[in-house]
Amino acid sequence: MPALSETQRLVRNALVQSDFDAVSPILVGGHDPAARLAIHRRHYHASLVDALRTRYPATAWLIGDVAVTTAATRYVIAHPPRVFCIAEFGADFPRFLGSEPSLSAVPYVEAFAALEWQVGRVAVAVDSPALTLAHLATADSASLMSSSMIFQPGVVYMAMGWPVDALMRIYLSNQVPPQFHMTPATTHVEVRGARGALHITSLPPAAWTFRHLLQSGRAIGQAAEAALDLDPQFDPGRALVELCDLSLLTRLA
Amino acid sequence: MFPHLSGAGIGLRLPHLADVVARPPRVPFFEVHPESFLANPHATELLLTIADRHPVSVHTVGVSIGSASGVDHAHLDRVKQLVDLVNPVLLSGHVAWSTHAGEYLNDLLPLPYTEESLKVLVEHVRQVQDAFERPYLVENPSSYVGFGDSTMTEPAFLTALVAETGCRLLCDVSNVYLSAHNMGFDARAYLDSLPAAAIAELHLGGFEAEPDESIPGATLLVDTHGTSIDPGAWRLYEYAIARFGSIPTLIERDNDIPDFDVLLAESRLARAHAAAALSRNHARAV
Ligand SMILES: [Fe+2]
Repeated sequence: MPALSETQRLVRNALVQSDFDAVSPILVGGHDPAARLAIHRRHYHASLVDALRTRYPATAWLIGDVAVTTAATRYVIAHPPRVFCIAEFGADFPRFLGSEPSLSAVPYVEAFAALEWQVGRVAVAVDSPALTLAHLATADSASLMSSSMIFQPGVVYMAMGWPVDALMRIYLSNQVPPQFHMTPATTHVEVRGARGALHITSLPPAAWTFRHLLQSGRAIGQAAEAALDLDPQFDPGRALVELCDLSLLTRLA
Repeated sequence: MFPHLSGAGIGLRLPHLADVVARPPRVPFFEVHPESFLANPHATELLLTIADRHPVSVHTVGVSIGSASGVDHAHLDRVKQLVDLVNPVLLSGHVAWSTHAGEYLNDLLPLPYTEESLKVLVEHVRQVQDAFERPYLVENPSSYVGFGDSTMTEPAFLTALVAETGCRLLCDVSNVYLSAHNMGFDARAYLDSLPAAAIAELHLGGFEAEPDESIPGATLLVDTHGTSIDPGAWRLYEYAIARFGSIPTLIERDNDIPDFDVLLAESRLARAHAAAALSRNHARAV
């Protein structure tokens, strides 16, 4: 009689890798218990493939449901979930799509799917009370430059090699133009969501860098310097005011 | 706030949350899977509004008390944060396993009923009850296969788990019906052998018949939670109510989720079946 951990390893291998030979001798139920265990294997594959299709509907719109389902079927064998919430499963599915030889004709699929992952994540965020300009004005200006800022939870900054934000806007608006050409171009995007509402904004490199560095914990002074390196006309004071106006900040860190 | 729970509640899934907030239905209680909320702050916000108005039961699907590799305490901590916010009337999980070596297999998988398994579950139920500081209800699985090295029946295993940990039982009547059909045991005898005082909740969910590939001409019942409740499960439910008394009951639906009104109608049907069973009991007693 195998130890419980060994029994579970054998069942796991039947579910994920369809290896039933080793587990069959320890099962009972009907004349062919392995055929019955296959119900669990079927559920493992169907439920996870379905979870990915539910999580990546825009990607399915882009490359077709069959292509997503085919890739998802291979993905759930190669990458069993290591998260307990299925809504969190598939964060690296975009990279997997990007490495699929059958999708090489769509070189921007990885960037598009990565954007979709973030869209899904921020759309269910809940805003915290925003930092007001009046509150920001009470901070003394000397210490302000060495302070960092906490952003709303539903804000993500992404830099991508393709303008997939334009494609995503087409998908979300459901207004498909007769023709749309994709050419590689570095694109700086802010994805902002809360309680189902969503905004995807492409930003100039300096503004994007300022916000991105601030969000990743850099001090205002450091973020401003990096932005000024990219654009000497960049105005950090106005950029801070804009962040307050857009309710993107919650507090000084 | 909700000291006494009775009647038939409804499993509340994400598609119905906003409607339930906008138009609160008359439902004795709701039951939710915490794992559906942990990555969804907006849904959690809606759930907390609902929990202010209705009793809520929390039914974990990823805690995996049957895993030999242990319960994942990071996951337990996340569930506890939600449980602390919701303050549920009941907290439950499954006599099953879902994780192996850090992988989450997204299913409730069968256990051999052995002394080793019992030891693992006793340890894990204690950990869960210590973490949540409240009793945990454990649910009987739906079975298609068993293990040749099992040394106990399922009711004997559940009875021992209750005795060792003080946990309580969530008896899924549909699972008993389905497992009895698939594994060839007597469903009523199964219910008779459970410790009645430990039963704290009943579940009713839909299953579907398909050809049993292992027995030519036979059917296998598959636990899909995707259809209405089978007449045979309703009859067994009446038997369970007659034996255990008026136990809070949950209508579970996880797939092909219908309009909320359909679930409300099943909840009313459960109340009618329970009333019929209790009145027959009463008539026998007088
Ligand atoms: Fe159940």
